[in-house]
Amino acid sequence: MSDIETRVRDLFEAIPPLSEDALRTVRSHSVSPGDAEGPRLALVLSTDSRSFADAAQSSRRSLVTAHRLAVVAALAALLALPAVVIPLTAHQPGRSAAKSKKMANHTGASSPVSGTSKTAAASSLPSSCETGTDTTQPPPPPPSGQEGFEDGSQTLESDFPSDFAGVSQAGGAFTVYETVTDSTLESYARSIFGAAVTFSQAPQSLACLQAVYTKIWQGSHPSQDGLQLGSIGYSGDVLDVTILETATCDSDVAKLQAYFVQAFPTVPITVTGCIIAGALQPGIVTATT
Amino acid sequence: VQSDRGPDEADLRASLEEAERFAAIFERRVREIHRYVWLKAGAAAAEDLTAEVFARAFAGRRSFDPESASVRAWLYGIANVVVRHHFRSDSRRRAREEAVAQALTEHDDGTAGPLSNMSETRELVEGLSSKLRDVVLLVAGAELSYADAATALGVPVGTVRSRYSRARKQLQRELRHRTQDDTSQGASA
Repeated sequence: MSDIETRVRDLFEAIPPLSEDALRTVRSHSVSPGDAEGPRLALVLSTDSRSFADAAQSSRRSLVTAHRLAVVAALAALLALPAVVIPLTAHQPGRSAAKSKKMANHTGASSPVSGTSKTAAASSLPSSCETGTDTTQPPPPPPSGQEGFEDGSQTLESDFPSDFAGVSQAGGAFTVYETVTDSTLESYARSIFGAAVTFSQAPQSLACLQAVYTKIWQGSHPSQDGLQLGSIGYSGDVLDVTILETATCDSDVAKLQAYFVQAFPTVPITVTGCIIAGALQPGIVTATT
Repeated sequence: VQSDRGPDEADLRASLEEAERFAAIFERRVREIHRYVWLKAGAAAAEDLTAEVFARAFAGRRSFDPESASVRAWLYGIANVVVRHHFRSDSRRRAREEAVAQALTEHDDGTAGPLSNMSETRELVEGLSSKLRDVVLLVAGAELSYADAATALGVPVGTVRSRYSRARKQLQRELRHRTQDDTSQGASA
């Protein structure tokens, strides 16, 4: 090992180790409220018998972290992908009956994207999401392949083909949605998912989600500092957005609703908040265009 | 440097049926992931971001492909994504530069920090571009194989090799200059 490598290794080793207290904190923060298939990670890792709710409510910090992790869980359905992945949530865990009914009334059927055939998807779509006349916000970000940082480095997402619009998962089967047929994307997706993957043309509104998602993550939405996107999905022909917030939920829902209406005026959108500690609370605020 | 295959992969497979098995991966890897995140994001954010790495890993464990990566490389890759997302805004990125620089040398109370005696190495590493720095931290710091570092960074293995080679040359050159400067200063004194 050269002197350089020894020095860097020493630097790495010199980082103060996690104390037991810090480790406990990390454990209790490592929650995965969006993981419906198994116990939450906090409980998996728990060295005591506290429930996630107890842990999350034990401090404001925990709560905030729980919110962020709910975002993570919602936005990263397929985390092995070195890419932006948009969850196509046909339903929100914990969604109220009223909300579900409202959605069903609005869409005619609240169907998961994963169950939408190419033909059906195309025929049930809004005409376009490109008719947005957002005059107050920056233009939508470039396709993922053009994204980069000030220092010239590219994000990992930049390696992902730009025609990628989303992925849905049903059991062990994956459906990858493309904005246009893209052999590079399909080859890439097959290398990840194997033979289980099928391809479908993305609904236009779904293709918009990538731009919306990126825009929000880039902090160009109306209330970047106080608002967190919980999930963004597609149900029937309605964009379905859930935000996470605590104190200013009502105003943020209204603000985000206004933003989406302005940016994508032809796309029906439902904005729902809030999620507290991973569970949709009674008395949620819902706005539907 | 060896590519890690074995207990992590076995535990991850087992965790698909028994989620509790994921805890073994957490216990085995949390400290090194925390170190890596600490160096990239600073002490203040390291705990939360480390938690986020494992939350993402847990939620996405069904998508992990043992044929294409080790669990360890996969975790470092998630760490890269988490840190990059965290620093997407300019203000956060600027804060990161300051936080890391300060945390490496000072505690919050202004006393000497854990790495205050390693300021030269820190300066050398911080002097690299982010691309070269990431490779150096993964290969020399975390001792990942080139292949695993490539997985973690989402780039071809050849890119890792060339970046690492460039980084080493740059670091050695800088170190030589510093040594020469010290020598000449000593002679003139």
